[in-house]
Amino acid sequence: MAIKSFTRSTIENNIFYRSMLAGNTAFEPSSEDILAEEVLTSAAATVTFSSLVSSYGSDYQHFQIRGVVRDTNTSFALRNGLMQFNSDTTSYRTHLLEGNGSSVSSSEIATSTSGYFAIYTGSATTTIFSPFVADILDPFDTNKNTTVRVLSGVAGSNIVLRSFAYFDTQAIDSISMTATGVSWSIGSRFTLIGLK
Amino acid sequence: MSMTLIEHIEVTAASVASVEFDLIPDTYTDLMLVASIRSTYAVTTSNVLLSLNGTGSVTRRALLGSGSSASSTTSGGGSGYSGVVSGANSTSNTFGNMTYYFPNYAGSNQKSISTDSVSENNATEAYQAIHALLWSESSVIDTITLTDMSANIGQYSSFTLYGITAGSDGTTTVS
Repeated sequence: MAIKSFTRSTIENNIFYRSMLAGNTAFEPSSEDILAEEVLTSAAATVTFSSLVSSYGSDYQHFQIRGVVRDTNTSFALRNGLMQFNSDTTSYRTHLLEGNGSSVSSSEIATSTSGYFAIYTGSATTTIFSPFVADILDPFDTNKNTTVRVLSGVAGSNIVLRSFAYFDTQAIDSISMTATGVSWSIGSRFTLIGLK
Repeated sequence: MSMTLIEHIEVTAASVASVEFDLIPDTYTDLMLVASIRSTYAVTTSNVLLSLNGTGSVTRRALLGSGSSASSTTSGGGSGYSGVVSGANSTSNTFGNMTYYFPNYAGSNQKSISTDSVSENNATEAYQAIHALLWSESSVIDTITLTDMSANIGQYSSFTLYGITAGSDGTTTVS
């Protein structure tokens, strides 16, 4: 929609508006902002968003991380990404609901050193990347452990709704995402979004 | 597309019977509600009931995982079951995580709603759930009420309602 100029409309065209909007729609800034984005130009084992409390703690209520990723493993088409908060290697537990194209199952991953946040591909055709969306609610609330909900999938393989909890109430100051045993491939994209 | 914060609610009391958003403007394209909930119900995982405009006539079809088995379920009769949350017997300070999406909430058709929700717990049992909901009314949704299935909504539970506005940039082709 063309923006109407209040000055031009009133002075030059002698049109009177009772509102300073001069007939324009009120502008509402979005409550969803891209805070950081990393697109890998070289393979890397871990991508970390850091200094979150000081940078965003007073402005954002929730985080979402959207990604489209693969790793450098050449043997397995189905891989697991690991997420850690605040460089802490204790107190995680992962649960999942998964479909493989013919059946549905649910299970847990009791490993406590990381949250298993997403599935993605390793050995599939090199132009294929796998998407995930991770919702992290109230990351700065020190009354809560942090619960993460992630939807991810691998083309031609599995789709999974995962959750994991980080059993610590400290505010989330850094989020690290690590490829299991290898590196994230060039072109993998990680986007941190803040919701007000 | 743009997202606008409509209201954020955090439970500061020890518990509340329900949380309600009312007088919701009808000026957005869709609504999205994210919630971090712990129930006072003495179970590992509880359920959240959804009521719209003061009626409970929300039915569901759900896909559920318990941490050890998967199932699908339905409930009619307006039960309002809409997602899973951590209960009072789950690990302390642990909350569920869920998103409701209300497409075309101000339209004149019956309202279809989707939710993804999880409870968490430091044990084998914790639920993941995908719900397809139907509210068989053609009214504009102007009130959203959430309650626990058998008890209250616990302290520090939070609820954030956003309005989603469709964009007009780019090119869309319909053929």
